[in-house]
Amino acid sequence: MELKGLQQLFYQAMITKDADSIEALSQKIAGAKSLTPEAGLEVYRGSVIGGLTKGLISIYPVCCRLVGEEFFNATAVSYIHRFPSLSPDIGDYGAEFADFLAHFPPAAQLPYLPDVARLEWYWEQVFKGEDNKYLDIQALGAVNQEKWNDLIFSLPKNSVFFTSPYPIHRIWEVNQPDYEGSEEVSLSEGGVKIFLWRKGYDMRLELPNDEEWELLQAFAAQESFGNICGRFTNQSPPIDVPSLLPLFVQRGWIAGFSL
Amino acid sequence: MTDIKKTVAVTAALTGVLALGVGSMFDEPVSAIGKGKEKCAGIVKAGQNDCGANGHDCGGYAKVDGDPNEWIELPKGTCKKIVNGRVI
Repeated sequence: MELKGLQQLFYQAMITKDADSIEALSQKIAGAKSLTPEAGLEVYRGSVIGGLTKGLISIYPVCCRLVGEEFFNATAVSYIHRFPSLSPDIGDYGAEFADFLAHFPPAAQLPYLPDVARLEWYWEQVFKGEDNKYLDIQALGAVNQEKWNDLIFSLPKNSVFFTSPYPIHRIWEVNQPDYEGSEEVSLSEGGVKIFLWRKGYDMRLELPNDEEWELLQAFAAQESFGNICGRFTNQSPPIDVPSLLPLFVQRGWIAGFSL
Repeated sequence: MTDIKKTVAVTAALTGVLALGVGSMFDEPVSAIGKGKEKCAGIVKAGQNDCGANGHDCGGYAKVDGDPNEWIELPKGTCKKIVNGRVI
């Protein structure tokens, strides 16, 4: 049997506990002294599921807190069955968890749960991601004024935008270990637009207003600055780009420019 | 007319950025509280909080006065002298 086939058989036997696979695998492996191959496989299974579940809990602590550990563990087992770990780095595991939750009937009573999971996943990715750059104002000052229309500003590379119809930032906030205050969040607080990035070692969960959001989207789409100004000053109501751009720069939301 | 509005906007925006100057633009690193400084929570007026940390929004987003989780940076030793001040 080829290695690949053996690995697939091993995985099948370990994760599904399907009797035929276990039987077939038992022919191929030597049991430990005091364990049958099946019992040995069960120990292995426990370690794999346990390790991946711990990994998921560390990435999704708020989701875990929202549903309780028992529910989370059972959910994790279903997830692990559906999405095997494909990377040698456990830090890569769990990317599909939010989508999985959205289609996981037992969690349907918590419609905001998938978006909370999404926030936690993005948080982890931005936290681990590369350091962001800051705009080089001196270099910007050296750009000939005739070229200002052509400038394309870029946002911090290690950043994420996303929206939710639920106040997930509040749900997330009140479920932080160091949070003090009322834990009550009303879903009627409405949805949220989030811009998540990292400034130095600080994670930033920003809640841009509608105008800021539109401008951020235009920068993200790499629209030229002349176009942006033309579009936003002539729309109704107009967006005050001259006030917003320096504010963005001060906040660190502009990481660079190109021509 | 359109072009003039656009040109004015471009010029005003860029002039505004350049006016920030190189030194003034970064309030970073916010996480690394300056030597001799401390984070003091529970005493901040709405909208006057310092930026970042505390796991959520950026500066100026505090919605109520005296929110126990909003902080500002103060010289060390000051916080304990303030009513409701809490070093975090």
